[in-house]
Amino acid sequence: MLTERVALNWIETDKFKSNFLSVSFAVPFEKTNAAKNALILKILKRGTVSYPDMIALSKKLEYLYSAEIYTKTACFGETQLLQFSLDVLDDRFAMENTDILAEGLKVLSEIIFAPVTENGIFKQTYFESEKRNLLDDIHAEINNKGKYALLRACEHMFANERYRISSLGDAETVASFTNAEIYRWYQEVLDSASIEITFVGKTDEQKLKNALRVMLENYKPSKSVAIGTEVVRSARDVREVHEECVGKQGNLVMGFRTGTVLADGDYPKMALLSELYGGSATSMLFMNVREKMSLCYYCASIPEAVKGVMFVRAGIENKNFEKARDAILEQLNLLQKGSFTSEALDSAKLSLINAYREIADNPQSLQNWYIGRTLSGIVQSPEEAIEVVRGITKEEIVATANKISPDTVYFLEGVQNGGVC
Amino acid sequence: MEIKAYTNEKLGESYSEFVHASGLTVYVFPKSLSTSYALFATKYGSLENVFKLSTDEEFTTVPAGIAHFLEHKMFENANGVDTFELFGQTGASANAYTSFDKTAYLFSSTDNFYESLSILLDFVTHPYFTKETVAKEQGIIAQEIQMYEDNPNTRVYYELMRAMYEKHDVRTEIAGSVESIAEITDELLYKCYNTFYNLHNMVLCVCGDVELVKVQAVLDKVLKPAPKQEIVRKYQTEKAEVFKERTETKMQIARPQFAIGVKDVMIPESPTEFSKKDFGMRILNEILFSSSTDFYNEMYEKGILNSQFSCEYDSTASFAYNYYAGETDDPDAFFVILKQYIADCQSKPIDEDAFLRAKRVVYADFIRLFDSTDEIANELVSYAFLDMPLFDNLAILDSIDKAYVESLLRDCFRDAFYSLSVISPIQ
Repeated sequence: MLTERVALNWIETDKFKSNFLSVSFAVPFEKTNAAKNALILKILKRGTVSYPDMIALSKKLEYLYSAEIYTKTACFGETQLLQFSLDVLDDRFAMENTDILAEGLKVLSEIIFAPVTENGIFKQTYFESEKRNLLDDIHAEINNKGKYALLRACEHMFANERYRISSLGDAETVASFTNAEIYRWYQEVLDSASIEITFVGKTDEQKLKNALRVMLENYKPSKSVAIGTEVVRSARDVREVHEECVGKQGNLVMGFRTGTVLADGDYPKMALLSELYGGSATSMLFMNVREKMSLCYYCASIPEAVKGVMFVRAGIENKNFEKARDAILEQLNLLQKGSFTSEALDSAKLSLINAYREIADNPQSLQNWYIGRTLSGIVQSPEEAIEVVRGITKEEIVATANKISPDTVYFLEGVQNGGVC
Repeated sequence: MEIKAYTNEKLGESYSEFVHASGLTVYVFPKSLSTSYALFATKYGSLENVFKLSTDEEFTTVPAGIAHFLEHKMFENANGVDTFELFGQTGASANAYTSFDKTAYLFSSTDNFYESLSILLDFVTHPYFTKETVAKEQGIIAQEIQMYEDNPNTRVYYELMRAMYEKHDVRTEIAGSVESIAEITDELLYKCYNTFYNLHNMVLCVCGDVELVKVQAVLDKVLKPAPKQEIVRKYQTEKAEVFKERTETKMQIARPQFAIGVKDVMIPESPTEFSKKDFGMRILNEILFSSSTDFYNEMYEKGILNSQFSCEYDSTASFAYNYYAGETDDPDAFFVILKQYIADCQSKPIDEDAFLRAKRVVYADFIRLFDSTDEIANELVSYAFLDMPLFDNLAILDSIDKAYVESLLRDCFRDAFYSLSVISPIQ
């Protein structure tokens, strides 16, 4: 812990030519608040007290050798993070003496704690234009049919739960937001959310920690908020939903309850299972649904560790819907019966171990790894997880597979005209 | 065998280049990261649709999308074992891609690098196609093509290419169409393979925890000397002006999308000049359109542009263009605004401070490439095909002054070079 309510993941390495620092505020995911969070992150990037508009702010970042500051929301189960990240070139590449990290951190700190305000709320023109941009983003969700199908599948699968894979809110709610309401909510976040800071790079540790403490003088939460995720271990029955949109291809999304979550402590079994099922080019879904049956270009499984769900996605010809659905379920059935070779399991292990080792080469992957685990009360490095993966037996995979149940089959049919969505 | 060594002290990086006895040019770039990366590429992409060897009498014309189709089919082997299964035994993550001017096979790995390298070299040098395996792939690639057809970003791009270019094959989708790939046969695949997958026409780039002697040992074991052969290519020449000024398509999207292209046929032949122009255009686009410009901010404030707006300069040996894309309610109105803005900028000098900041951004972005073995290997391949040492870029970038960027702005943006591609929402 850096200070009370502020956890610090300090990953020291000199292998990069850049330094990465992120500050994440954790709040419970709730659809209306998620829309507010998305809007706030857009407004905060418009200007700060010292750099009051985008021109001043961008110029400053350009001077700092293309320092990047990005803001985004991320969901870990039913916890949402408001993330502020700084990615800067290391000082040794500066043409003159510039403390790029320290300067960048000052800007980042202002973006979080010193936005431009007017009459005690956000600057009205920034609020208005970013609200319009958020509405554009919401309407544009239809543009990417594959991702849209996943969002729609979540709407159906979690109709009575808070979880969404991501959410910008709905247009009607966003249209009703007022500046005062949004500003008040942001103060509420600052006053109640816990913080996770991740640093990846090489710098004077004491100096950066002191700078972070200076930044955090603005952070004095008076309350705390409970974060957590409701886990539904198994599906009651399978619901099947068909919708249409204009397009050439049909998009299939199948949602499963896995019955295994990170907090259980044996999550690597589920990660390995998904690798074997649909995580690589030697997986059962790829080898059968794509290679043997020629039904699709991609057919992959994506596990979600905190909520305990898994999605399988495929882009297919409309007429192959039943065939693809049945084939995906059939492969799960084979997994549950233990009908897979030890070679396939070994390949999945090597593939997962490879993916875990690659995490060390990417600051954002490192950040996600540690935040996900911290939120689930787990202390485990990628190297420790690799050791666990090595020891997983076929019986354990079969037992893990038998906890999985299909929940939602969603099909977004591509049609020539019309389309209800 | 001569080994050329390249070092850059500012970057703190070095790599070696040599030509293996087989004819293959090889680059070895040691890097202390967990992930090692290998890329085996041929100078052959979707543009090569009419060609012959100098010893052939007739030119061969092949269906659109065949280079990409071939890339898919390379993963099958005569003994029935899928290449992915072989990589499954080493833990490497393998993949491939086809672009307009190259096809690359690759893997990333954190262990067993040389075993994986051996698999990579072996499968790419052993084609195996039959009628049955070709037919099987047509279903898979048809779905890939339809996925792109449903993607508005891809659609707006290709519609723009068809407007800008009259004859050049950049008009055609890299993956081809469902109809064109139906014409692909195993014989045609062998024809393309035997022409372009000659080791003299290929490069291997490896980056990561790698040693030159061990790479050589794998090459010695797997590769056989390739005969020298000369490929004769037939490209369509293009006029400087665009073919059509405007094109429009409809899709189910929320807000109209646009792509504006500024065609550029003045492609420098010298690798150094080619690279200089590429960096110069990147600097220019920063100066004209970055979020620190008055223009972008005015458009943003008025709601004409949002953060989806992007700009880039794409250049290859046979085509180049500036590309500006985004979403806006009235693309035709924005097209007029953008052209007027660039015309206004042409009439006055570039701001010194804006130039300095833009150059800094481009410099920093170049340095950052060296934080990833994947990026490094891909850059090495691009500059290998351009026949220019990768590190030369730092000196080239350093040599760019404001006057050069002003000359690009003056010469490369004329009214007749602009096209607009619009995707409008289905009502």
